[in-house]
Amino acid sequence: MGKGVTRREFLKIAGAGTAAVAGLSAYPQKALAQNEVSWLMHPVHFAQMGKGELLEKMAAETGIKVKAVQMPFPQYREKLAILLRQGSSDFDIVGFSNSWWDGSLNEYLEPLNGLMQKKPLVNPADILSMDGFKVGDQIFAVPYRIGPMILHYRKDIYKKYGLKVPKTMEEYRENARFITKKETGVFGAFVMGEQTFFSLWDFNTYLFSYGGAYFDNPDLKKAKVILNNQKGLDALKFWSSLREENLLPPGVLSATWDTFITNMQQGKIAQGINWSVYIGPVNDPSKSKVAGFLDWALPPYAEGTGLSCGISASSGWGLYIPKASKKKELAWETIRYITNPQSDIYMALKGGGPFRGSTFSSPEYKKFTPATDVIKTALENSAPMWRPVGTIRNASEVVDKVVIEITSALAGKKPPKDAIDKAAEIVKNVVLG
Amino acid sequence: MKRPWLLVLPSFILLVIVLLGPELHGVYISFFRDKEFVGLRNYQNLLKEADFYFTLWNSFLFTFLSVGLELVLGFGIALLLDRKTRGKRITRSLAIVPFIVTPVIGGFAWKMMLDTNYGILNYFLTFFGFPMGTIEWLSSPNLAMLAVIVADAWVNTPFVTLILLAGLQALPQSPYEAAKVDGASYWFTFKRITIPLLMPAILVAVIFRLVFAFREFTTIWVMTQGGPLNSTYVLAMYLYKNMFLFFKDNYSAAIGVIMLILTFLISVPLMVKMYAEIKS
Repeated sequence: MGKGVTRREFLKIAGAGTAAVAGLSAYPQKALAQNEVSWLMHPVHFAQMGKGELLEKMAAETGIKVKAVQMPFPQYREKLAILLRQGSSDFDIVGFSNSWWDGSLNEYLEPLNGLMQKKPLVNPADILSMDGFKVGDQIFAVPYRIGPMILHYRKDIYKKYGLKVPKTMEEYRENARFITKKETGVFGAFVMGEQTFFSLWDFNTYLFSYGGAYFDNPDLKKAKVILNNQKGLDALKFWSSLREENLLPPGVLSATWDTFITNMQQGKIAQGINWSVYIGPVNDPSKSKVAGFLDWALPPYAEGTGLSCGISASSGWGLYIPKASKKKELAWETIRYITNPQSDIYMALKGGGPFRGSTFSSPEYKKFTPATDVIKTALENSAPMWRPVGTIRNASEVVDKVVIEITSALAGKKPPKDAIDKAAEIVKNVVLG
Repeated sequence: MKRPWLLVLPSFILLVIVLLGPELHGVYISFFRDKEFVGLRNYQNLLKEADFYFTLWNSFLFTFLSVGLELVLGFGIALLLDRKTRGKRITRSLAIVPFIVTPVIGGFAWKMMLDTNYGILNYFLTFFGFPMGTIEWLSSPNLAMLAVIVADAWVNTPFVTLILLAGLQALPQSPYEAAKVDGASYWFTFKRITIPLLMPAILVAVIFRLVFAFREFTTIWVMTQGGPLNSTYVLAMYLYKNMFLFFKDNYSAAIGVIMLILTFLISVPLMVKMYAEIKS
């Protein structure tokens, strides 16, 4: 029979084990080299850089190495906010989307104007959607993955019924009515109605395409909230009428971007205004029942606005430098490289969202995606999220409260007038104080 | 051994630091705003917020309905598993499978099953004459709360089952034998013998589930993110949003303290009753 472990032996083993674990966890992480920067990024962005291939190329050409730390959303967002507010210098470059960014964290970010003056970006005039990353005159980021909202539609259904590509919102709705009535099991429109920033993003395209805006002045110190003027009200009335008239598939109040992709792939919707980056998935023959039957157009605009096409919110990811970074010049060099024309084409061909006009004109990208001209024009006509302002303080709180109002109107629980008035009051109270 | 408490002292100190440390820090920062001492102002502002009461109501609704459902289902399953049947071990193992699934995965699974247009539940309902998409489980403010309650109950019923099953198996047999001799019916036996004897185990299960259900976040966040129209917006989500989305760490610390107090208020009376039951 075995002797068993005595009390003394047990304590020795436990003590040694604890000491080992404590020692290993306290072991300092390898310090970054002089020419190395640390970059917190989303796994999708690492993938669009060829899973590090582009960074290796940059290291070979410039001598700058990047330690890429990947983190999925939403842990990414939570960690980033905590790190910035702690003044941590752990990361020299961070990327995030202006669709969910809170302007109150800008005080922890380095304005890039000074770095841009010392060493400008490669052909900065070629970069689209820079306005989405500005606050007043200060530029906080350089875009590196962007995509406007465009109209995705079933060209086979259009051809079947002799429908024209809608230029105006009213034409869009007429098409939606016709398709929903004639095509069994197919709906004529789609809206993201989930109680998150997705519904606000969706609504903003309609708002801007009606000529609406959040503020009347890009300088928030002088601005008034005009969200609930006649244009804003008309936009919300139109947006919610799509559900009222049963032109949307069921479940709209829990619909997001993945619902759009699934519905489009399954042939459940014939038209929808959504991000251009989803052209790939909806047209993927291995996943989509309607691959090859789709086409794309600019988002429609409201009649009487004087617009030539609809306006989507310029949304996308930008590259920022935390104020606490100790390698700002090196980080800036990295950003200059990653956002240069060749890098943009490289990332675009890996499924990224191009941000340079030259990429859209390149033969490689034109071959890669069928809607290059549409995407480029939509980007050129896009507007910052909080039109006319890029980012605002307490954006998260504003989004959280405004989406309740607009989705209440969408659900038919609140008249559009009450909803948009309350939304405007929220924006005024939280942003302007 | 002369001082046996010395053996557990290191673990105790570690537990105090790990458990109490963050709690005390949370209480401390709840009296500040941006490093300025503001006393009870965060609490005063919290008590003026309509969202606080709204989420509190949703939390209570979610807690009591989901725990109630878990208790009924858990008790039923425990009674079935307590019987001497073939394949008992396999059945018991299968019964606890939902409990070992992480809440995130469970939430996603239910979200997919309850999808309005492609979910398997709506697909089965088509056999009863309901066209696909008729019932918007997660899009309807009236049904979303029911959906998250069912999903939560699916994940946590095995926990209740295990506790009650352990309790059932520890019950003495003599009262049952006496009742049988006296010709008592099954329902009489269940009501007058099983439930009173099992009360301590029931209370343990209820206390644990009430505390955890009141703080529930993961499953609901994954399924509905508090929507539609705030119908599933619970207190834990209110705290999360204030901390991680609005960056109001001091204010969210105050929410945390209030949650702690409410958890005590829910659990302490039950714990007192439980100890009284055990003593009797």
